[in-house]
Amino acid sequence: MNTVAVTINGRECVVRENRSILRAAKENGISIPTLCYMEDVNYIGSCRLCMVEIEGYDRLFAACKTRVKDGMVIRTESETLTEYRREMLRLILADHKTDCMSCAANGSCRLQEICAACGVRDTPYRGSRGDVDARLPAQEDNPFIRYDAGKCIHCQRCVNACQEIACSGALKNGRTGTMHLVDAPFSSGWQESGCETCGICASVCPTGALTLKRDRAFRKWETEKVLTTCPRCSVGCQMRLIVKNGRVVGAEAADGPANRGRLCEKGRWESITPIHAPERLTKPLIREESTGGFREASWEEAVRYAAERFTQIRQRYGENSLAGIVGGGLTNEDAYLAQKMVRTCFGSNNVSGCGPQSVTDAVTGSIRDVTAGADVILLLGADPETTHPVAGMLLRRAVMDGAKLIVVSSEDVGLADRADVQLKIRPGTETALVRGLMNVLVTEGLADGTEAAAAEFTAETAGSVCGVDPDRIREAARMYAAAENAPIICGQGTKELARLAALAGKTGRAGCGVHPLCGQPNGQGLRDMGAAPEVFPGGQRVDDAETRRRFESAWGVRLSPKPGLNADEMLRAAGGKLRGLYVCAEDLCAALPDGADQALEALDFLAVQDVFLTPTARKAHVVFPSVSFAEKEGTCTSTDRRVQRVRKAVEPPEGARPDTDILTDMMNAMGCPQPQLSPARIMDEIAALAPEYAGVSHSRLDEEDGPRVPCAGGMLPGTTMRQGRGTALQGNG
Amino acid sequence: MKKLESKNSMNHRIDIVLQKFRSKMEAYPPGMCPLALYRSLLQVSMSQSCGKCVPCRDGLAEADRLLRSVLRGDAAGDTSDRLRKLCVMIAKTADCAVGVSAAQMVLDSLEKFPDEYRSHIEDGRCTENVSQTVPCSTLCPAHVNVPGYIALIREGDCAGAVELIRDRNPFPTACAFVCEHPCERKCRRTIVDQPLNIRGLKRFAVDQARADQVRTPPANVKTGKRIAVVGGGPSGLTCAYFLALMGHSAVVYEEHDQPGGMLRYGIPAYRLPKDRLDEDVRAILAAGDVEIRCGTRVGREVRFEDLRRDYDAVYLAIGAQIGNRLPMENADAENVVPAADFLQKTAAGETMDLSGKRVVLIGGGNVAMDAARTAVRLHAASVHVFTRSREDLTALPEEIEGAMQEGVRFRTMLSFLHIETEEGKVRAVWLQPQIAAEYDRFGRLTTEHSSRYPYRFKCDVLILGVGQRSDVAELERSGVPTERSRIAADEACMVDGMPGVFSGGDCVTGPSTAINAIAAGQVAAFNIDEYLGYHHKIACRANVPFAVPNPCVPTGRTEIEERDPFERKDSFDEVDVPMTREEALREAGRCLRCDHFGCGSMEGGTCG
Ligand code: SF4
Ligand code: SF4
Ligand code: SF4
Ligand code: SF4
Ligand code: SF4
Ligand code: FES
Repeated sequence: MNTVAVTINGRECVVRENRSILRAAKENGISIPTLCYMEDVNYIGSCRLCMVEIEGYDRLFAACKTRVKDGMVIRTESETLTEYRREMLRLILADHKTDCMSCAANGSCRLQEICAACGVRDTPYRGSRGDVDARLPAQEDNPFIRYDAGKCIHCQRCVNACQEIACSGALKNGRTGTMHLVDAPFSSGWQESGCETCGICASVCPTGALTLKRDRAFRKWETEKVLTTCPRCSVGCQMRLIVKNGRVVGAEAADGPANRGRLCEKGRWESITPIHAPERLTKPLIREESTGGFREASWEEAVRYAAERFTQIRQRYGENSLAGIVGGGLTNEDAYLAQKMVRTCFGSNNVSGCGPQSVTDAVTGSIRDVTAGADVILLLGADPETTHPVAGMLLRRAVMDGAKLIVVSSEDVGLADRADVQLKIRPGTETALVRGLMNVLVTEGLADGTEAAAAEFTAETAGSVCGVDPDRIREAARMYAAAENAPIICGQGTKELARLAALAGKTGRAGCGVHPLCGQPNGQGLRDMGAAPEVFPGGQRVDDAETRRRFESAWGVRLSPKPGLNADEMLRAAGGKLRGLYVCAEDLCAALPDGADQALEALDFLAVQDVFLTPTARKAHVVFPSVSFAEKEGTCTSTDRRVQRVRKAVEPPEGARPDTDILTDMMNAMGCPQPQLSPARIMDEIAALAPEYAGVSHSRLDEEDGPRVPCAGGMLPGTTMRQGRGTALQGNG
Repeated sequence: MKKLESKNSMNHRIDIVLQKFRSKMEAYPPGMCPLALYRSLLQVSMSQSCGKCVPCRDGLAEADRLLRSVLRGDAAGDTSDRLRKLCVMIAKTADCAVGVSAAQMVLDSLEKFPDEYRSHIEDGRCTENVSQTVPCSTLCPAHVNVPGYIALIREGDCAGAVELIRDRNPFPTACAFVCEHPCERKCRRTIVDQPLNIRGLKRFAVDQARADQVRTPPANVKTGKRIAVVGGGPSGLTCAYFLALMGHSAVVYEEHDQPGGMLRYGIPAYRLPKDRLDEDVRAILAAGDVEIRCGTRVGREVRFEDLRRDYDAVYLAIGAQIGNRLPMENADAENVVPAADFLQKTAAGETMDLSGKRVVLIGGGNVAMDAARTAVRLHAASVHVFTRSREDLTALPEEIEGAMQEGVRFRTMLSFLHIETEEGKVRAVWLQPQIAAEYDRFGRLTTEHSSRYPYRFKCDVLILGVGQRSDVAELERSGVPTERSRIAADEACMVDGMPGVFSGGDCVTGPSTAINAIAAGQVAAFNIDEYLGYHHKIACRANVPFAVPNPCVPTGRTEIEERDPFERKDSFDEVDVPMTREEALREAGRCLRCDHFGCGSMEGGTCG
C-alpha cells in the first residue's frame, strides 16, 4: 500500500495514495460537509459543499472527487469556504420547494440538516427552475415511491444508486434545454420501466424529492430502529425495522455482509405488511366435532387437547403415525424445537420442511464472494432477480464489473439479457445438460478425472435432448473450465452439479463451488437444525448409532434409528400410515398444491401453529396463534450459510405466543419435560449438539457479522472463505 | 475633426471578445439541446439589432419569448405555427440582413428539428438522445476512451494506452499515422486555447509501445461459430478482431496479396509506412482465431452463396476501391488514371515513371492530395491540381499545405471540360473558368461558367481524383441489395432483408475515413454476436489513472512537424516528425479530463 504525505489544515497526514481528499480528511478526523457525495456511488461533484482550498491553485476543488497528491497542502475551513458553502445552499434553496412542515422527509432530510448546520435559513435568489418544476407533476403512480421535482436538488444520488447499487438503471438522467431532469420511473407505465421498486433510490435521496410514500406516517425522531434479518428469502439481507409507538412502520437496509445497504421490494415492503395485519390470529382455536366450525379456546385447553390427541394416535398406530412439518420462514430456534418435539414426543424422524433438498456440501463461498470474486458465473435453473432480488443485484453488479455469465434455464430469465451465453433448455432436461457439460470437459481434456454418467452425453446428444445448440454447450463448458473462479449458482444443488464443479476443479476456493439459492428463507437453517427426516441437527445422520447415542443422552429419550418421511411422503401416507400431523407455520396448501388438500382432510388429527388462518390452518383441528418475525428473538441461516440474528422489534398482539413457547408447552403436555428456554438458550443447546454451530451464540452474533457455518474449531468467526476478491462497489477510494 | 480608430476602441476590444466567442462555438459540446442553442443564437442576433425597424427590434423579442416558452415546457400546442408565422413575417419585412437572417435561422430550426420542438411542447423535455457527453470520445466514431489513454500516456504507460485504444479500435498504429482525428474537433480545451493533439499523442504511444508487442485481451473460449469476413481492410479486420476475441472463428477473404485494404493500397507509404501497418495487422491476427485468405475474391474464387451457407454470418466490407472515371470522351485514353488505381499500383510496387512529365490532377479530396504528392515523389516535372471552387479542396488542411510545400500547384475556379488526345494519349486538358454563384441548399457554393474563353492546359498524365466506388456487381447478382453501387445496410450494419449478412465501411457509406470503417467493423462484430444470440463481453485490462486538477494555464498545442519539403519529396520515407517525450508529456498534460470533470462523471455522460 503506497502512501503520500499531505497537509490538511496545517496538520501533516500520511494517507493512502489516490484517496479522495474527503476520505483522507475523514480518516484524519476532519469532517467536510457533503450533500451529493455517496462513497463509491456518487462522486460527480454537484453540490460543491465539499470544496477545499489547495495551495498553488487559485480555484477551489471538490474534496469528494479530487485525489490527494504527495505534498498537497489543503485547507478545509476558511472564511471564504464557509461563505461559499452558504452561498451554494442559498442557490439550492432558490430552486427548492421548501415546506418542511408537511414534507415527508422532515427530520431525515440532509438538506434541512446541513442548512441548519451552516446557518442558512432562506435565500435571496429567485431560482431558475421554478416554472419548469411547477409544471412537472409529482410522479406517484408507483404504489410505494413518489418523486416530486419541486424538491429535487439534482444531486443525482438516486440515479447513481439505481445504477451502481441496484444495478438496474431504471432511473436515469434526463434533460430539458439546459436543465437536468431526473427521469424517474414512477408515473404511469412504471410497471414496464424495468424498475424493481426496491426503493434504494428513495433511501439515498437527501431531500423529500424521492420518498417512500409510507414515510409520511412518521417522523424520524418518533421512531426507533431494530436491526434484524429480512424474512423474505434466503439471501439474508440485514435490515432495520422502524418502530413507532410499538408498531413497525417501515424497514430500511442495513450494511449486512450480503446486502451491504441493499434491500429489495420484498424486503422493504412485503416483509412488514403482515405484522400488523388485522387478520392476525390472537386466540387458539379448536374445531367443534359437532358443528365442524372453530371455537376459541384457552391456551391450556388447546395445548392439552392437542397433546392428548397426538398421544392417543401414537398409542394406537405407533410412532410412525405422527409427523411434523416445519415452515421455511421459522427461525433456527423454532425449527430446532419443532424437530426435537417430533423426535422426542412423536418418537419418529418424520420431520421435514417443504423446500427441495439440495446437496450443499460443495458450498465454499459467501454470496458476495461468488459474485464479486467470480470470473465466470454459471447460473443454472434459477431466476434470482425474482426469487432472490438482492442476489440478482449482486449478479448484475458482477456482470457490470466484467464477470462472464452463462445462463441455463428453461424459463425466460431477465439476466439472460446480460449473459455471454444463454442456453434455453427444455423443461426437465437440466441433468442431461449438466452431463453434456461434463462430457465436454472430459472429451476436451479439461477435467480432473472422468465421469461415467456423462459418457453417453456428447454435446450433440445433450443438445438434442435439451433442445439447444451443441456449440453453446461446448462453449459453456469451456468457459466454465477456463475460468479461474467460477461458481455455479443454481435453484437446486444436485449431485451432478457437485460433480461438474469437482471435474472442472472449481471447488474448495472462494468464488467457486455450487451455490443453490435456497427456495425458503431459512431453508438452510431448517436442514442444519435437523428439520429433515434423515438427519439430526448439524446434518448428523439418524442411522448412525454413535450420533444417536449422543442425542439420546442429551435429550433423555430413545430415538428412532429409521429415517422418516419427507413432506411429499407424508402427504402420500396421510390417512394410511400417517394419522396425525403438526404443522409449524407453513401453508402446505400453497407450498405443495398437488394433493395437500385431500391429504390434510384424510388425517385423524391436524394441529397448526401460524400467524394467520391459512388454508392449511382452516383444515386443522387445533390452531395455535404464533408470532411474526418482528416479534421474536432468534437466528436464521442464509443460503450461503451465514447465521444471523432475528430480533424482536415489537410486542406480539395479545394472545399470540412465540413458536418456541408453544412447542415447549406441547412437549411438556406430551410428557417430555422441556424447560422453558429463551431462544438464546436454545441456540446454546444447538451449539452444543451441532458441531457446525459450535461457537454460535446470540451474544456473539450481536457483536459481529454473523459467522458462516460450519464454524471452524468451535470459536472462530467462520471466516475461512470470507475474504473474496474485490468489494461490491468499486470506483472511489 | 476626422480621426483614425483608436487602438483601444470599443470595436477593437469587442474583436477580442469575438475571438473567445468563436472558440466557444467551436467547442460547442456534443449532445446539447438544439433549441437551447438556437435560442442563444437568436439572442446574439438580437444583440446585433440596431433597433431601427419594427420587425427586427420587436419581432425578434417576441420570437425569443415563444422559444423560451418552448424550452420551459409551457408552450401552447400551436407555438411552432405561431413562431413560424412571426418569423416569416420578420424575414420578409426587416430592413437589413441582421433581422432577416435571424428570422431565417429560427425558421431553419423549425425545419431541421421538428422532433425536438414536438418533444418540448408535448412532453416538456428534450428527446431521449439529447445528453451531453465527453466531446472527444463521442466524436471518435469508434468511441475510444480518449481521456483515458491520454492519462496513461501522461503516466508513461504507453502499453496501457495502446491496450485502451484497442478496446475499441484495433488499428492504433494506422490511426496514429493517418486518422482524420474527428475527436479533436470539439475538444473542450479549445475553450481555453486549442484542441489537444490527440492523433499526435497516439503516435507517441504506438512508437513507444509497438502494437504487436502489446498484449491483446485474452480471447474467449471457442464458441464454434464461424463468420466470413469479406474484405481485409480496416473494417473487415476490425470486425474479425472483435469476433475472434469473443471466441468466434473469423475467416477473412482478401482479394489482394496482403491485408490492409486502403491502408495498404490507398494511403501512400510516406504517410503510413507499411511495416508500421503490419504491426497492427500482426496483433489482430494473433488475437484469436482469425484466418486470412489472401488472393481470394468473392465472386471469383468463392461464391457469396457458399459463404452464406457455410458460415453462421457474413460481414461484407469490400470497401470502395474502384476509382471513378469521368463520363466523357477520351476518358479511357492512355495516361488517364483514376487516383485510386494510381495509388494502388504505386503501393504494389508497379510505379509509373513520371520523370519529365506534366501531371494534372482533377479533384481536391484527400485521395487527390495523396496522388499529387505521390506524383511529386515519382519525379513528375510539374503537378497541377485543378478544382472548380476553393470549397472543392476538401482534403485536410495539413495535407493541402504539405502538397503545396512539396511544389504541387493549385488552381481553382476552373471546371473540367474535356480531354484532348493525340494518338490515343492524353495531350492536354481543357478547363472552363468559373464565377461564384449561389449557395445550394446544403450550404455549398455553386459556380457558373464565366464568359471567358476555355483554357487549354498541356499535360502528359491526367489523374482523376473524382471519387471511388465499390465493386458490387457480383454481390448484386447474388441478391445483395445496393443503392447507387453501395450496399444497402443500416446503422446497425445489417443488410436490408438478408438476415445474417452484415455490411459496413466504404462499401456502405461510399469512400470515407479509416476510422469510420473501423467503427463499422466494431459495430458489426457486436451485432453479429447478438444476432447469433450472445452478449459476449470483451475484457480490457488497462486501468484509467485518476484525474488530477488541471490548472488550465493557456498553453500552445504541440503540432506534428514535417520534414524539410525539399528532402522529403524525393522519397516515400515518412514525412511526420513525431513528438518528443517532452512534447508528448506537455501535450498530455493539457487534457482537461472531461471524463472526470463536467458531464463525463455523470451516469450516461460517457458515450458508446
Ligand atoms: S426503486 Fe430501485 S430499481 Fe426502481 S428506480 Fe429506484 S433504485 Fe432503481
Ligand atoms: S431525487 Fe433526490 S437523490 Fe435524486 S437528484 Fe433529486 S434530490 Fe438528488
Ligand atoms: S433479497 Fe431476500 S433477503 Fe434480501 S431483501 Fe430481498 S427478500 Fe429480503
Ligand atoms: S480536453 Fe481531453 S478529455 Fe476533454 S475533449 Fe479534449 S482530449 Fe477529450
Ligand atoms: S460540470 Fe458544472 S461547470 Fe461544468 S458544464 Fe456542468 S454545470 Fe457547468
Ligand atoms: S459532496 Fe462533493 S460536490 Fe457534493
